[in-house]
Amino acid sequence: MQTEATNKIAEDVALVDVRKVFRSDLLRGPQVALEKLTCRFPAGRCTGLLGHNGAGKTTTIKLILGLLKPDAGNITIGGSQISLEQKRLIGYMPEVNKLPAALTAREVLLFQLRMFAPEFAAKAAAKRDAVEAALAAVELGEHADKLVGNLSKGMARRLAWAQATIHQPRVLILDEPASGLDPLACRQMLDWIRAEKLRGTTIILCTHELAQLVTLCHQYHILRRGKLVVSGSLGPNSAQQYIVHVSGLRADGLERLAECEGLPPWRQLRQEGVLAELSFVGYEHSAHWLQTLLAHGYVVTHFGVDALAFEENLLQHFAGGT
Amino acid sequence: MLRAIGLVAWQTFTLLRRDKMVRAAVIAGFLTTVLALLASTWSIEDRVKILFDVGFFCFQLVGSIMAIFWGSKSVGDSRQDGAIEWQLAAPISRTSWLLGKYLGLAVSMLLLGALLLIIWQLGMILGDYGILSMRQLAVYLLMLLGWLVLLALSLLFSVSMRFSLALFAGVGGWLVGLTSAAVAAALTPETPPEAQAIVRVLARAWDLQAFNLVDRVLEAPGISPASLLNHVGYGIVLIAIFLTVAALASQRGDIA
Repeated sequence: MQTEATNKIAEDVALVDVRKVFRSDLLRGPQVALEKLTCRFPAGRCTGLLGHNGAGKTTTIKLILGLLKPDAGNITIGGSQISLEQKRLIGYMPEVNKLPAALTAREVLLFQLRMFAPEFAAKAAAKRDAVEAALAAVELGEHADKLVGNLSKGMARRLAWAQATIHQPRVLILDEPASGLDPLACRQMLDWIRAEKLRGTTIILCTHELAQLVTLCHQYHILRRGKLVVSGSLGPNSAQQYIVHVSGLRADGLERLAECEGLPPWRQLRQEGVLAELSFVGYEHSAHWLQTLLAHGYVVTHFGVDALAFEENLLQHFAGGT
Repeated sequence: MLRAIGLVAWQTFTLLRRDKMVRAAVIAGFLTTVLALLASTWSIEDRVKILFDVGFFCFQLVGSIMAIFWGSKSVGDSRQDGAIEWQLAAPISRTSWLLGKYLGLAVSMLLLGALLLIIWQLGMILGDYGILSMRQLAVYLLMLLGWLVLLALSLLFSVSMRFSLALFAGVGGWLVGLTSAAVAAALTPETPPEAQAIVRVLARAWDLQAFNLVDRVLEAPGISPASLLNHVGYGIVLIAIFLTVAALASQRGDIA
């Protein structure tokens, strides 16, 4: 069912050999922001876009939105060049509030809906209901007539989310969506992103928070100095490092486990009394691993991606390592 | 496309009507009316002439300053707070966005002009000057057209430069337009021919005094329909040229 829904509403975004040079700085000369960037954001998937400051993430986003014009290369949505019709499919939530300070929250959403969803043009009641529903969904119903400039940072972020999603976009571009939010608001924001994921929206998530990347994204692209240095999948894969927490260690510790045949290489990360933390590489070994542990009488208390190892790996790419 | 232009115009108008400068302009209009009434009361002769000379001169000043300020600020503010990214990430072409901006600005300026006209008319009634004649109304409307021309010029500058620079360029353009005809008329035979040619071309192409017919409010010759049409046509051509160049300039560059 989910796959069907995904196929219906999602559009993929692709950049092919995109080059962007900024020439506005006369003193420093031309600055190459993106160099032959080719990457794809598959339909219905959440893709993380990572990189250090100045790596080219925001330039990539602005190119997709049509705010910047590429010097070379192609950008497509659903296989077509970006046109005004294609832009109607996009929802964009910038990192900082970029809504006019002298408009009210309701006016912002009305403008967004009228601009992006022409089907509402002749339906005043439907338009009003959609705006009220969006305001209620982000808990801004009581502040609907407040000017954007008078909203708190948290409220402004919630309004930014509402304006990005009110027209039910097929492609959602999120630039640091949870930046500056308190932990509770951050969790709420992540829940909203998960809901969009379930709806089958193509999500491009720019973030520095690796925890968000691991929990939300299906895959990721890492940029460095305007070039794509690595792309990877966050789903089950053979290169990923996994971690297992086991309980019930006996006096001989893990020696018996080491003698087991057919187990792929593994290492012990930590041991405290009857508890141990083990890690291995390759999702394909996980079933065998778990069966073996259970067969030896161990209790598995946790199994998942080794977030620390993953983070270490990503940071190497950020810094320019291999 | 028309719907998108209308939406941007509506948004621009909404933002401008909340601008504190509106209050300042209305207060300036009120003070202008009071000043003109006092000046005409204290004068010995030509009371009506002095009323219109003082009043329309001040309105010209207030309206022109507002047009330059709003024209520069509307895009400058959007650029500064990043709202231009939000607006242009929408499914709207840059030309439509620019036309929408101009339409919103023009509606705001015309409403401000209407408000000032009401204040002026009330002042005239209180000062026993009666109701504005058609000729006087035509002079006022032509002045409004001059504001719209300045608006288009400021929008052109603000598309291609920052707010402070656009404001500076707008004021410069306004002053050149006000003085070009007078400077051309004051040229002496000693002026080098090349300089004379440049000044005369400039005075023919960019003459804001074409929208200031206050000297014809009372005196003959009046304003013939053909002459009025000529002035209106000149204003519309200027607006069209400025907006076309602004649209071309906005196509080239990156946003923000």
